[in-house]
Amino acid sequence: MNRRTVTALVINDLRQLARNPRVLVFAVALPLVLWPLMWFLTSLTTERRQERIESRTYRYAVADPDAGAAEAADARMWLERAMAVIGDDGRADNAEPTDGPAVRFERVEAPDDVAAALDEERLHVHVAWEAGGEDLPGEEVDRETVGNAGRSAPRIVLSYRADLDASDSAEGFLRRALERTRTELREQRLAAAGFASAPADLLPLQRIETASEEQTSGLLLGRLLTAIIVMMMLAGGSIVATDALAGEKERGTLETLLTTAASRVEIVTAKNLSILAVAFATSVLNIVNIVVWMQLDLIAAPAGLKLAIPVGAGLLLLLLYVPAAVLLSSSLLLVSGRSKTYKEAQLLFAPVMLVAMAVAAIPVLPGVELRSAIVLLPIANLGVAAREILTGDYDWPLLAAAWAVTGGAAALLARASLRTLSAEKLITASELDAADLAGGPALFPRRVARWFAVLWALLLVWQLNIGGGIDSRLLISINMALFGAAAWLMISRYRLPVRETLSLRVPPPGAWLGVLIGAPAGLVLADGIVRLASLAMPIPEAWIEAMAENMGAGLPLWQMLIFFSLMPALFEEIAFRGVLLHGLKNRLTTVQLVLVAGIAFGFFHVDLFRIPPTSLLGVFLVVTVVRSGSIFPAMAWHGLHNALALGSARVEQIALPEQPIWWHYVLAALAILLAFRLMKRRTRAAFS
Amino acid sequence: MDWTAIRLLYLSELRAALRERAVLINGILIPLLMYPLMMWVMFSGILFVTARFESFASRVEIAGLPAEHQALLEGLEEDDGQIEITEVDAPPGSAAAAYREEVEDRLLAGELDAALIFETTVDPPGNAEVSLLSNGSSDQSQTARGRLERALSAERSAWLDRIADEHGLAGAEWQVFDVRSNNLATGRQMGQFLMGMMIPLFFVIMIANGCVYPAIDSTAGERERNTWETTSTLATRRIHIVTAKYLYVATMGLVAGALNAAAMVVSFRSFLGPLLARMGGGGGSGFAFELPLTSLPVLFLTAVLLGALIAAAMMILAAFARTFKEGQSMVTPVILLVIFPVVVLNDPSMEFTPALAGIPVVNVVLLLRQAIAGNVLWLQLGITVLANAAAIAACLWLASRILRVEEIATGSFEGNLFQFLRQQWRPAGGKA
Amino acid sequence: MSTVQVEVQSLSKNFFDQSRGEVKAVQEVNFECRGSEIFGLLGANGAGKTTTLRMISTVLQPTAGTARVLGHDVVSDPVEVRRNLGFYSASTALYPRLTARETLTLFARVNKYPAERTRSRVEEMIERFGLGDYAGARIEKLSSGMKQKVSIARTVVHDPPVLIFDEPTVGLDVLNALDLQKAIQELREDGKAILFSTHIMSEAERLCDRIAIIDKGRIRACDDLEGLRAATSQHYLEDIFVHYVTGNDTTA
Repeated sequence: MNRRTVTALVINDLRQLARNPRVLVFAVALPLVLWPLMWFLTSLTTERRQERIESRTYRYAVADPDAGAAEAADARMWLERAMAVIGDDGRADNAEPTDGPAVRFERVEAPDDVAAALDEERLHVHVAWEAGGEDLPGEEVDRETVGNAGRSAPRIVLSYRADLDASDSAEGFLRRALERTRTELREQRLAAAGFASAPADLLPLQRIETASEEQTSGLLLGRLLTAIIVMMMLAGGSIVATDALAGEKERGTLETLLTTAASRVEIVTAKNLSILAVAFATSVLNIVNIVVWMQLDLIAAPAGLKLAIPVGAGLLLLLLYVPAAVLLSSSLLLVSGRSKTYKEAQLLFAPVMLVAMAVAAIPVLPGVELRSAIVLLPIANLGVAAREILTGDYDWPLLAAAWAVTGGAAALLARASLRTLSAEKLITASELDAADLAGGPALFPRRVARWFAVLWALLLVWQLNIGGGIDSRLLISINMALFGAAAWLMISRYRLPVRETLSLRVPPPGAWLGVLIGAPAGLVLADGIVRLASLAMPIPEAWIEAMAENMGAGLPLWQMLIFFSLMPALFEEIAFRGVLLHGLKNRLTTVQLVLVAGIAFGFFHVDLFRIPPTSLLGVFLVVTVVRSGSIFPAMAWHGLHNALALGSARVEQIALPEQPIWWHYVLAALAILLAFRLMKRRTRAAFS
Repeated sequence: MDWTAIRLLYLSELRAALRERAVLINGILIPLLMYPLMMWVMFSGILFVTARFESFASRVEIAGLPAEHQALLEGLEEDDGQIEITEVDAPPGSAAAAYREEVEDRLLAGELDAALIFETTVDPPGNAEVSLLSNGSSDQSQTARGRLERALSAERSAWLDRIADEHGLAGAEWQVFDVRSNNLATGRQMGQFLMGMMIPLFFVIMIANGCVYPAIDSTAGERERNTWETTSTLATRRIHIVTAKYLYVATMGLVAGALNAAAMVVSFRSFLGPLLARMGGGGGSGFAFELPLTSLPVLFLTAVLLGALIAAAMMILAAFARTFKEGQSMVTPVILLVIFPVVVLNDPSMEFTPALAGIPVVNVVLLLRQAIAGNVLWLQLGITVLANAAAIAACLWLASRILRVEEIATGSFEGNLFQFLRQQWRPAGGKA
Repeated sequence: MSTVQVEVQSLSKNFFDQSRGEVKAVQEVNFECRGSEIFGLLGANGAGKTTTLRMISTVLQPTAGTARVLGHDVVSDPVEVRRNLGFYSASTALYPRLTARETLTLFARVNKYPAERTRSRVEEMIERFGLGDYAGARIEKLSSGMKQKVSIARTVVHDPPVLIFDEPTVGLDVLNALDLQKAIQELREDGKAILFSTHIMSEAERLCDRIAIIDKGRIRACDDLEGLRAATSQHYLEDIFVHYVTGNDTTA
């Protein structure tokens, strides 16, 4: 690599940018003003809302107390006392007294129709009271404030509307004032009864924080730092990245560049450096900008955040973020290189940003430690590492591993962006060709992903919207009808040859034996995957119960077999191992095919915790079809698998055995391999 | 006006647009799929986080717990989630400081999540000063701290009850009174409140988002592709071409807004409803996400008004651009103008006064919020329509002025709207 | 005759297209080009001219065969090939926001022209192509004729012995096209080996020392104009072209 060439290219890129005032204004200068302004406006809105709540006059009405004069007099007294202390607790920051008027409550005539008065906001809160009695069944009583003593106290009922702002605030003010009044009254009665100490002196609590202020603030900062930095790097980097390859392609300067003596490596390096330089510069600008605004007191820093990072930790963080930055710039460059126009590049940046942000937000999740599988996830591992460093925890070997993993991913992406410069892609003139115009089977491979994406979205919306509430048999039937209909639509729309598409062939006889061995073994391995996954994402108890219920626990056996075993085996196989596999097979290598088609099947099980085991099942079924060249063994496997799962669930309610036994899994894995071996066809040609 | 020609041109624009990937994604796919997807991710995320918290076994140590307060331990065990409690005797006075230091070290090393240390005081019997030690830089420790605090507070009030009982205060006399809040809002009303806070804001943004690509594509984009010349030589007047384009951009905005509102309602029902039900919100009846029927015409009306307004504003600005990229930066101000009111309006205490009804965009958000809550305020509705119509008329008038200038129509004008306005006004001022 | 600068042997290129399958863009092409020679590739659109030239300039990788520029192989030593090569086509654009001088400096550097001589070389180019008055103006402000001059200067700024002009006159008006042709002829006088592709017969007739007629990825004939005339007994290049491409004679 020639330093002079790279420098010349970087300077060229930066010069282009510097001479583009429009981009500088809109992409660099505007956000500098805009974000703090938004922040400022948001806090201003919150403040104004607080003021409005406190300066409003709330109307309350009291129902005529008709249950005994003495108690009515008590109630009036309590209410009066509450009115005297109302609003004292209003402001969150008690630091300075408010200049504005305090909360005012105005009593109005009790209306006949309380609900209507509340609805029309003639009234904000209605006070009624009931004589003491037993608790109503199923009623929640706040034990902390009410205590266990006696259940026959009179009860003050505040009727209000939580969806109307004024009413909601009025109820809050009044309730807090009443509770305070009650506490005071109790203390008085206790003192009168001869209890000498103040209740506040009972079990006085002192909170002792063992972590230093830097460490506690470090946790807060560490959760967000990576996400903020990734966002700023992406926003800054994308300014150059759109132009870097896609823009140059569009203007024709890329071809000029490719015919010079600059090597591809030099070009990609230079582009990466330009993106990094601009991303770094804009990030620094943004951070300085925010700090300045904070210094000017125009925007407030989040509570509990101290922006003090020790120099050593700061330097380490900087070093840590280097591979992350390269990874981001390479991915932007890759997207830019794969798009034909500036516009397309811009459109494709959105998913890159979403994915990067999702990964960078992982440190926000509680209790994620670097010493776990997370160390293998680029960017996220550095985010978690940064969080640990900021809380004063240095796990050197894992830090090095995280650095290496992200660095490796960055190198891979850089290599991939290098490949986009091999110009075949620059030259294929038009996206449209004969297949687009004629339609038919040739077009199907390019459309299959789209179809299944739509199917997934449909399933997602339907299952989560209505699915929970209906009979599980109906749910399954509709799901299966959806798959069947989609398969039929695709086959007829693209005139696909049915026999070939669905692999309707006679399988080798060994395949059946393979299924008999493979399906039980697959179930054991699925159990293993669930365990493995639950290390990273533990399954809530409530979910397992709900799952058992959804599995139609109360149905007779023959119905369960039909709905949970036979129907999925038929329809899901037709859709996934038939149509989907057929659409994907010519575009992917066998390994890719197995992974993509298998995991896609998992994702159709929508529920987070079901995705890992069903993906594994999907992988096995794809291998089955690929090896045997026929869909029938896959159907058998699927049906058997579901039936066995149902059986084991009936026996032990999907509870996992307490201790996993490792040799079970080893045995199962070996059995699976044997099963696949048995399935192999004699002639290779069939599946291609 | 030759409406046949306009209709033809309009339909051809629409057809072309539906074949353009960027328009399809921004105008249809994003408004339709963004919220279901976002909420699915959120739903899964929250499920994940709660499960993680449940799986934390809090390791706590309790030193010197007085015999009177053994119930504290039961309270801790009953609390959700797993807990490992180590109970130790109170260290003697001389060793107290050393013990405390040792606990702090264990907390910092992460061997322990939180500790309660009781130091008995004289009065009343059973009382103690309690220290709660925790490590603010660890999630586990914060969870454990919360559990200990809750348990201690419950024990304190139970103890107070026992003391009261001993002093002859019982039943109503000790409890004094009970406060109960009775939320009269139905689940439907609660749902409408939540939807009213969110739907209008995203609705406005999505309409703007749906307009951006068509607005730029049908002006600057045409120039960039050199199809503008072809279009402008069609056998129809320029005003017809522009009207057709304008209608097309407004339609795309409208479609994006409508799809988005529908997708929002669906995702509220699918994800937010179950989630809130899990967290026990919505009073007794839970949340029900249903739009009142009366809000649908208002929704449609506002979509039309906003689409027409935003489309006009964007096209005026984009008319000066010669490339797609230029157009993009030129319409940015419109997007900002739309987003700013939306940020400020994120406040449920804001009342929809007739004065506010005079401000375009703002009035639409507030009008919709009321409509979703089931109120139709006729005066404000009237003012809103008039205000937006006036703004649209102003934009269209400006557009007709701009189009009369040959240079802009042919794309040889260099500069933007502001430079144009300055040029237009300067000679007029000079003559006066 | 001077030495062979560009040597192409059995060069082939196949594209793979998802729905059309294998597309054979260039098949078994052989030719060579010497110093002080303009070698023309004459063919219709899509005949394989651009693909051939792009392979020689290393933008594309050949599927089979070899091509060498000054003895450097395009596959094994692409950077050295490009260092000795200037590539000009209607689609090789310039950075609009750079000035002419900056453009020339950039490309001299990127093409690894000796650092100490870069400045004087750039000034020499500015003078030679008459860019003096405009050398400090941004390229986006220049007329198309001026842009074209900067483009040629960009192509030769690192003084490469081999030049490739891929349909350079597409989209130019008559005067600009003539200017360009003159510049190419002058470069031949400087001893450059020039590969020139076009689908315009008159251009090929006027400029090229030798002409290869290419159709459907294959070279149908390769000779100087006289040789082609003798072989086909046609006078006009247009008729010769039709003769080779369709196999029919237009004149009776």
